[in-house]
Amino acid sequence: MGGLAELVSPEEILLHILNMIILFLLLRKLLYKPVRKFMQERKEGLAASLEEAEQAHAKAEKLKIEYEARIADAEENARARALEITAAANASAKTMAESARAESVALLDKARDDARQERAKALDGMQQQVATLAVGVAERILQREVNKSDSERLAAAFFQDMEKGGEMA
Amino acid sequence: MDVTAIGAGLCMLAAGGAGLGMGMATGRAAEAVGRQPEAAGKINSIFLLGLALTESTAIYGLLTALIILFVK
Amino acid sequence: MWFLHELLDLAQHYGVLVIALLGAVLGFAFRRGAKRRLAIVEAPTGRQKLPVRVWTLVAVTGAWIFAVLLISLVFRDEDKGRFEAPEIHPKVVENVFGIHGLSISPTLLTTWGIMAVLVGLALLLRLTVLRRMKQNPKGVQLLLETMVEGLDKYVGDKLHGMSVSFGAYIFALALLLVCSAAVELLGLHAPTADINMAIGLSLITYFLVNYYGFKRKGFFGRIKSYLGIRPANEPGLRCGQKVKAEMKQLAKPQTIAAPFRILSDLVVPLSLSCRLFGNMFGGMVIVELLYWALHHRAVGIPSVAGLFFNVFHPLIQAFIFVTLTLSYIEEATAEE
Repeated sequence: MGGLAELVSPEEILLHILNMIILFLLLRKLLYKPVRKFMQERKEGLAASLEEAEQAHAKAEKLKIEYEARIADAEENARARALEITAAANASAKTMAESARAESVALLDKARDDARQERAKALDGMQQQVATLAVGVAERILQREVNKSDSERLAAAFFQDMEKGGEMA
Repeated sequence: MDVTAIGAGLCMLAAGGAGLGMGMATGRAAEAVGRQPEAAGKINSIFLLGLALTESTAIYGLLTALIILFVK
Repeated sequence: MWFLHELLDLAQHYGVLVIALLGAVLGFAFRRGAKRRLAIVEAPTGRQKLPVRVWTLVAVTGAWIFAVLLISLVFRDEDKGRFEAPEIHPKVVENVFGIHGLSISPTLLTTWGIMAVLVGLALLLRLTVLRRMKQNPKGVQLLLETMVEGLDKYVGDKLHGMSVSFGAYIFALALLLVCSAAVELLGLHAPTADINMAIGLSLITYFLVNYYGFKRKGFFGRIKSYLGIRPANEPGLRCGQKVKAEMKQLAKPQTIAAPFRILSDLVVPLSLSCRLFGNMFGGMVIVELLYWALHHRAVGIPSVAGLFFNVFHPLIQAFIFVTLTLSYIEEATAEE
């Protein structure tokens, strides 16, 4: 196998190893490290932004719970106040109703008094007219002149009897 | 008569053993995939690795034959 | 009737040519029609696909015969003589770069060419893509990132806690092997088909295996792992007691396997280089044989066979080389 030793020459092997080392160094510096660095940065950036998003989410949740509690409180307050107001309104309505009733009663009394006065006045007038008419009728019947004072005496007695009998409606 | 040619021919008998081994490995791999199709990816990579390593014995035989023939 | 002979000869040559050309063109045209008719049918059976296949066969055969006859007419048919195999040690190139008396093997020149191309590409990428890296990668940047990340994950799967430089070395190694497979397609003598290059690469791997092994385990630790001794690490043992405890483990039958383990460790660079060199060189020899056997009929057939021997095999060998490197290093640094 003498020919085999010609195939392998150590200088060439050394040269090839050197070539490989140079290629490795150059590629590492030019491509591998920058791409890897970029990918790491991107991963970290993504992780950081994810964490930020999660924090913001937690904060938003907390705020939401707070606001809901506050809203519930406000609702209760509003309800209590509404109840109060209705009670107050009811009370005032009651007093107003009462005062209105009192007023109406007073008005009614006054009207009744007025009506009574009017009636009495009308009654008096009617008394005079009826007396004159009765005297005239009586004159006719009696065919003579009746004395004014007699006639008045008769009328008054007639009316007293009537009033004793009952109210004139 | 050139005896080196006979020597080179005898070297290539190594390919017989390699072929037998690779055929058996393929059969087992096919059986394994048929038994569990979800593991087909892993079985594939193991199978290729085994094939390349087994083929290297045949390549050693080829190498020896070439050296016998072409190196004076 | 001498001209009948000539006429027959002429007819033989040109007749076959014309028939072949006709067959190619007609086959192509009819194939298109048959395909269109087939596209309407859903779920075609084998019987229905038959016309397309027949016409494809006719077209391809016609085209091939036509190309072969054309080439044999244009270039005279010569007898090639004895098969000249490619040299294992390729012929040295004399007077390179015009410098008198400098002779370099073509492998080195091809390797320098590959290095120049790779470094040029890296510079180009560095200046254009890396300047404006976007958050969502597209195109070339996506390719780069896929490669780097894939390699990182592959190396990290097998070995944990390795430095970044190691991944970069694997990156450079894989690129070199893939590029040399591509160079072989162009007809040049591939650099990894040179035994010196293969030995060089496997020597680097062997050096790395030893370096990491010694770094992880220490000098004596490595020898102990050959002998199959588990390190006695119980606390409270003094030095003499530890040595005695470890020496006691030598009484097991696995001590006999120690020389074989050492031998199989020494064989590592040899087997790696022989595997790589044998595959690449054997592929080259087979394709050259194919080209020589079909003198002028080598149209299309060597490229189909070359697909297997010049593309598939080198790529698989590159992958195997890288995987074996990682496996050996993992084996050397494994904690028992």
